[in-house]
Amino acid sequence: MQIHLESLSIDSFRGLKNLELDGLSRVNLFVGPNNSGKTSVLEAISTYCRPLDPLEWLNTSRRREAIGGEITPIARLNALRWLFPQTREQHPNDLYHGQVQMQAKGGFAVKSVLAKYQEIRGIPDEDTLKRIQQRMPSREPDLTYQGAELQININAEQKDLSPVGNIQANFVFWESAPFFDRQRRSDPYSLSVRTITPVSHRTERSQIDRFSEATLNRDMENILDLIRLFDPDILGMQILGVGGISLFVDHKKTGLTPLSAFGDGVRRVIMIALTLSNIKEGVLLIDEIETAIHISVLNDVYRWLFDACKKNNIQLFATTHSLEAVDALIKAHPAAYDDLVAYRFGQPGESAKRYGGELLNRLRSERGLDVR
Amino acid sequence: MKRISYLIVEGPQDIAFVARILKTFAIKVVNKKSSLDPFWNNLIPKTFPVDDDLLKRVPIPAFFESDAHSIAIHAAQGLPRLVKTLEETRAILDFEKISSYGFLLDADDTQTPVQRFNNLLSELQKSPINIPLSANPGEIVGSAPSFGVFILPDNQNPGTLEDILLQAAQVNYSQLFMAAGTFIQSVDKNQLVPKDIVEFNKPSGDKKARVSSISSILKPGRAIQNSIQDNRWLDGEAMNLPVMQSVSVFLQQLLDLK
Repeated sequence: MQIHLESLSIDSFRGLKNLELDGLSRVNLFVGPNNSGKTSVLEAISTYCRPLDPLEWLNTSRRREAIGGEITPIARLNALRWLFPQTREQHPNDLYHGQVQMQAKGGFAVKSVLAKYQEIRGIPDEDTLKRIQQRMPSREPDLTYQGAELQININAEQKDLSPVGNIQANFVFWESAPFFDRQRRSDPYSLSVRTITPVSHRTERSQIDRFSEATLNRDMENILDLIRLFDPDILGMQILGVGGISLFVDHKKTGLTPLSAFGDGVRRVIMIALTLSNIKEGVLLIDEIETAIHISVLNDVYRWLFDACKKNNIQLFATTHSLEAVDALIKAHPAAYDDLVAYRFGQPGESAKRYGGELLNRLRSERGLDVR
Repeated sequence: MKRISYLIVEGPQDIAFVARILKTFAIKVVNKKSSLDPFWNNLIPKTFPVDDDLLKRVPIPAFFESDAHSIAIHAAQGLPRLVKTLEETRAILDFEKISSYGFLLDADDTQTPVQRFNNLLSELQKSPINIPLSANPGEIVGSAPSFGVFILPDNQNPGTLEDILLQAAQVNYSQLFMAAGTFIQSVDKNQLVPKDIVEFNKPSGDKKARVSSISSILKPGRAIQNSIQDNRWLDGEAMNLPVMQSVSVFLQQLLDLK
C-alpha cells in the first residue's frame, strides 16, 4: 500500500524554510527542542492535505490557541496571516503579502501547493457589508475594512499519473464578516485529515462530534478495546442529554459516568481512538503523542495505534518530547521497523535528521542514546 | 575551537594503549561529565539497562582532552558492530564538526592486516555510510574530516596488541618478560581439563597469558588495561620501537597531534 506522502518539501510555511522530509513512512515521529518547528510541520501537512479548503487554512491557523477564548475578527485574520512567513522589515502600514510553498511525492494526488496571502483594504461587496453591519451595528458604515485574499494553486496528478495540471482557488476574507464556503471542492485533491492537539481531549464539543461519527462508522468495539486497556470495567459509551449534551461512559462500578469524571489518560485515548475512526484513508496528526498517557500503557496504546493506522491506510505524524514515547513506538512493532521513522529538528533553518526505524532501535537499545 | 576526533577500537586494552600514546602529547582522560566538551553529550547513554541486559557495560567512549584536542575512543566488538557504532555515532552527532575519525583494529593471528582491512571495507560498503575509503591500512584520506584505518601491530604482519606489548616488555620489563615465559612454559596441560585451556589454545592465547602474567605482578588483581595505563610498558625506549613508531606516527597524522 503506497503511503500518501513519501516525501515532503516545505519551501516556506510559518517560520519553516527549505525543509526537506524524505523517506516518510507510515508512522512518522518528530522530535527536537522547543520552537524547532515541529508543530508547524504538522500544520503544514494539515493544509497540504486539504489545500483548496479555506476552512482547513482557517482552522489550522487557530489550532494553537487555547480553546474557549473569544477571538476577535482581526485576530482571526491575523492568525491566518501568521501561517505565512513574516519578517521584521514589514512596515506596519504596508499591506502584507507572503506565500507558502510546498511539494510532495507519494500516493496523494496533490504534488505541489502554492498559496499566496495578500492583505487588502477596501469596501466589501453589498452582501458582505450587510453581514458585517448585522454583526457590528455600531460601526461607521463608510470606513474601509481590512481583509485578505488567499490564492491557492495546486498541481495534481491522476491515479494513472497523468497530470491534471494547475488548479486554482481564490478566497476573500473580511474582518468582522463571517466566512461561508459555499463551493464543494473535488475529493481527489484532498485527504481526510485530523489533528489532535495537546489539549483537544479536554474539549467537550470535539469529543461529541467525533463520537457521533465513530458510532455511525460502527467502530465502537474496536475503540472500546483500546479504552479497556486503561480501565477493563468500561462497558460502553453513549451521548446523553442530561442538562446539555455530554458523552457518558457506561462503567461496571459507577454506571453511566460523565466522561469529564475520568482521568486525562482515558479522555486522551478516547480522543485518539474516535479521531482515528473519523479518518478514511487519510492522515492523522498528533501533537505531543505522549500527553496524559502513563508509561505503563504506552506500549499497548501505540501498538493499537500502529495496527489501526495500518489497517485503515492512515499515515500518522506525531511530535513528542518523551523518550518513553519514542521507546514505546519502537517496541510497538519490532517486525515493522520500515513503518517507523523519526526526524530530529534542530535550529530553524537547519535540516532535520532522519532516523529510520532500524537505526532508531539501535540508537535506543544498543547505545541507550537520547535521540530527541 | 578544539580539534574533535573519534576513533573506534576493539576493546578496553586498545583504549588504554591509545590513551598512553595520547598522554605523551599531554592529552588526558576526562573523568567528569562537567569537564567534557559539550559536543560529546549526545554520546552519553541516558538509559540503563541498555538492551535489557543488566550485565552489559554501558556503551560509552573514553574521552580525552587537552587545550587543543577533544578525542573520543570507542570500543566495539566484531566488524558488524564496529561499523554500526560508526553509523550510529554519525547519526546522533553533528559529524560535520569532526576533524578526523578512524579505526584501530587487530589483525589477530589468522589474517594478514590487509585481509582484515579489506573485511572492514566490505562491511563499511554494506552500510549507508559514505566514506572516502583509503586503499590500504595506515593511509589517511580526506580532510575535514580525515579518515584512516590502522591494523595492529604494524599494518603488515599478522598479530595483535599483545605482540606490541611483549616487545615493549622486553625493553622495559625484561626480567618480568623472562619470568612470564618461564611460568607459561612450566604449565602442565595434562593437569587441566580441555575446557580449562580452550582460550589458552587459541592462536593468541599464549601471548595473552604472557601479558597477563606480567600485568599480574605490576597490578595484582587489576585488569590489564589498568596496567597499560599506569605502568611503564610504553615508557622511554619502548616508544622508539619500530612497531610503536608506526602506530604513533599514524595517530599523530590522523589526529594532528603535536
